[in-house]
Amino acid sequence: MTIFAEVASQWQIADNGFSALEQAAFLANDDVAFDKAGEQRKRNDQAYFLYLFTRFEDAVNRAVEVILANRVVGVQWTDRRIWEDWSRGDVREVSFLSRVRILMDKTRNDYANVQSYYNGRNKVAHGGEWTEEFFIPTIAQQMATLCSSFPMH
Amino acid sequence: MMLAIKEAGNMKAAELQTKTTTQSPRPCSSRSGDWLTECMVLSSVKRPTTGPPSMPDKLSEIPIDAIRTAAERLVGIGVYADEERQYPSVSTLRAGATELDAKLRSNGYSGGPIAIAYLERPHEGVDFLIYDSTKISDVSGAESIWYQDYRIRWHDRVMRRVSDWINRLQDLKELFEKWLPNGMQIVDRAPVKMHEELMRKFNVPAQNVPTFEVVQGSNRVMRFQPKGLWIVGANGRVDLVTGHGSWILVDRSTPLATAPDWFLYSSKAQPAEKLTQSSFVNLLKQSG
Repeated sequence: MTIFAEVASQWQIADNGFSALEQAAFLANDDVAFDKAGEQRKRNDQAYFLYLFTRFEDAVNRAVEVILANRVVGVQWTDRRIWEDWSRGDVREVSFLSRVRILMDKTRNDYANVQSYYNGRNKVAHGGEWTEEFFIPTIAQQMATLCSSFPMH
Repeated sequence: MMLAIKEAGNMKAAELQTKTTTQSPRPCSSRSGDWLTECMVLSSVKRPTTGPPSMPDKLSEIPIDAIRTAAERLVGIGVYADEERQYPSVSTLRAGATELDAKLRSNGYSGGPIAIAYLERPHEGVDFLIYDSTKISDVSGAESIWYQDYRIRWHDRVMRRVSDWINRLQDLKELFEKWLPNGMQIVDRAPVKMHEELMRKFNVPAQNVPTFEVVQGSNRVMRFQPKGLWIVGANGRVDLVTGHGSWILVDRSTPLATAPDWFLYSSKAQPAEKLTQSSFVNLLKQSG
């Protein structure tokens, strides 16, 4: 089981808790409680999305480090200079999307998906309207698929 | 053909990108800020190829549709922005400017020399513009014309998406009505206001979306509650809540696809199943 599947399973348990509140509100025909439970459910989705994103970012960092390590050994300076420069610092200091562009073509849908995660992450993590909606099972599955293609060594 | 190429900017990190196998972007190749919110994460994920940095993208790899769109916009408003990020970097475009000009002309462009210029600051995910230098004198003028057009196009697109969403919800209601077992019926509830972020951004007025309940006599069986259209990971979500469980109905189709592709997710962590009469009736059975 990937970490993403694990997080999605954990989300399911938490989501069940909030949907139980919705069910109770439905049974009681209490619209205020129903809306409140719906809002709590959305917040839970957002929290789990951030959790997934941190795991995804970690996988991106590890993959970029692997690529950097492979590009600075036994390679001519003209080819290795940029990689060498990146290798000198902490990879996390490079912007997230630049790191992602090392791993995938920016004209591809995969990259667009990652951009949408990043946008969503920023909207939730940095305040703002906080209305972003996420569907965790799909996102977890997509992140797992993306990471399975990252270089491990 | 003479070209007016404007110098600007340093080499971008994007130019370090890893080139993947040859493949043209698919229709949902959403790129700029609004495209991201709009298109969301609907496509199946394909495995990216990782590897060493390679030569920058070639002009020949720009999808023909993107060339046609550029030619059309250059003819229409005099400026084109690569909102869907289908073009290579500015340095590559400049190096192949003659080739680009010829491609545009063979696809209908007939204006003056084109200019390729960086924006002072990226705008809606766009960082450079291609414009007709005889129609528009500088990049800031080009930016203002492009952005006005961008807002009009997005307003229309968001309107279409909202209208499509409401139609899909109405269609679902009709479908459920047909599928209901004997003795059950649908009772409308007060509609819910929908005014999502993209609607507010492009001045699309709030709309009402239908909500309803399935009832059996005086017994309320299920609530149909639309949650939102622009969802990361789905093309719209509806929650189906009963007294004994809840299900998430998500549309896996691409935006503005000809037909929806509804899937039911159970709170009991079973695999998602396609929405059919049988899965719907099973859901109702579990509600009692």
